[in-house]
Amino acid sequence: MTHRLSQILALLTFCLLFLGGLVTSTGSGLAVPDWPLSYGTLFPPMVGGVRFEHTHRVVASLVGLLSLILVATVGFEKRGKPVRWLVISSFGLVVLQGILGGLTVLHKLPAPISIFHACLGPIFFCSVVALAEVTSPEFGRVAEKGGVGADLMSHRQPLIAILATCFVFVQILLGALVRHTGERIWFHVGGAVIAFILITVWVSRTLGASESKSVARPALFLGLLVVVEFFLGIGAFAFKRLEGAPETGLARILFPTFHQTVGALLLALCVLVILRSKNFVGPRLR
Amino acid sequence: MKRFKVPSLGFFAILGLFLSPWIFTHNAGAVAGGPLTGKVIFEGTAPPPQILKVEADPVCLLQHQDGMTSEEVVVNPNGTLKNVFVYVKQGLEGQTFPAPATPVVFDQKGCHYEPHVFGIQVGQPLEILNSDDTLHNVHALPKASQEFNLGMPIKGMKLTKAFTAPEVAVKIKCEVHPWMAAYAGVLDHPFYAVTGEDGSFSLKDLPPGEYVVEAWHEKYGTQTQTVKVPETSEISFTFKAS
Repeated sequence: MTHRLSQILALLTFCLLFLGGLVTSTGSGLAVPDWPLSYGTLFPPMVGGVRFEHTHRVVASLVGLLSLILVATVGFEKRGKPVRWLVISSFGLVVLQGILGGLTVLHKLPAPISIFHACLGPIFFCSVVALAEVTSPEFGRVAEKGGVGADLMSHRQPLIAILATCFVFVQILLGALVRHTGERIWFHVGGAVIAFILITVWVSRTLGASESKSVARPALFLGLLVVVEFFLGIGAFAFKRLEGAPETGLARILFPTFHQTVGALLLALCVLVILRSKNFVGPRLR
Repeated sequence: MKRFKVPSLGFFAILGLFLSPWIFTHNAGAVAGGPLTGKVIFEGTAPPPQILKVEADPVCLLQHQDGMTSEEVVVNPNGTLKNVFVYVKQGLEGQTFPAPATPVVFDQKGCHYEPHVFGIQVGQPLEILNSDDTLHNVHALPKASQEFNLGMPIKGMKLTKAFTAPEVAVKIKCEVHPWMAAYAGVLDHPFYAVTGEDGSFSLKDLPPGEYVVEAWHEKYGTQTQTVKVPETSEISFTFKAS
């Protein structure tokens, strides 16, 4: 039950991240000036920017509700301490994220809070993906064997894995900085090159050493997605700077939105590959 | 004769005491000076009218089935520029001009703002109306005054706000309808005007003196001129097509 629920939650969170990106890209963050209600009601007329902002709020509420149900579910199921803590911390993260979302509205999008909100979303997503992974029956079997695929404790793999994951997060942070202040774009571009190299090295080593599909598949996906992310970033950058592009042009909205969402997916995949790798976290989460 | 002099002096002293606030606050008009009039000319080829898509809201679409024309650049048939905020930028320092009690009416009508550019004094009430059968948010983005973002979901709704510090120009926008934008020139004096259909402006009752007059346009930026009043009574600004 916990596994199934966390899978649904992960999917819903992914949609929420996309919707959050859409709110920023369309400039609809303040289309609903009040919080927690929307124009004093639970369901305002869905017109203009309200469509994006209120849909984001509704899906966020569902994510919050599902997280709460998960807390109750692990209470009934006999789950290990790490899983219980993961569920509780995920719930804490989603509550904090909701409050940050409200504060961004009430304080009219102050950059520090908006950036914090943009970074916490992917962290929450990672925690839910990790939860879905560690509660899966397969993970239990794999963990018994001490993990599968590439041995993270040898050949400098842990260093690259951690560096790549950290760099993806730094990129999310820098991306949020660019989105909410319009500054430090070149830091973000430079960081993209480093993250790209690190992930490519990590993925190629993992694929070379992996005997199991459960590691090879997400690693391969990670490698492909980092290429997609690179081009999405170029697209977002180009459309932002393209003179004469209409303010609400579809490409100007979709490129940064997908770029932001795929960034969060990359971070989650990094976590997933680490969790599935031999002798890393797996055995400790049994 | 001496008997009448004393009470008459007292009478004028009392009268002066009562009238002094009025004299002080209306010193601009009391001394012969303005008006300073003029035109804002547009030089070059007028950009083609930008059509804004309003499909995001069925109520707006119903009123503008072929889209709405942007008010960003409006070149009048006589070659002048509309929606230019002309005001005295320097030369009135040290003088005070109380804010009028009459509000400036700012309406959300037909999914656009009326007026598109307007002037208002610090502390003067800004009466915000929603004449549309749809919801709006009014988001003012001043740097010197308190930013506000108000929800106006009901037709006929009325709210009153005021700016607390001078600033040219304060952008006002609606995030529900991203094409909606307006600009307020907030000043601590009443010497301002916005060009209309004929591109002319008139700064009435400007007291004699030397002033820096600025013309502000949302796309073409600002232009300034130094003038002496009453020696100069007519000026013109020219904005060139970019």
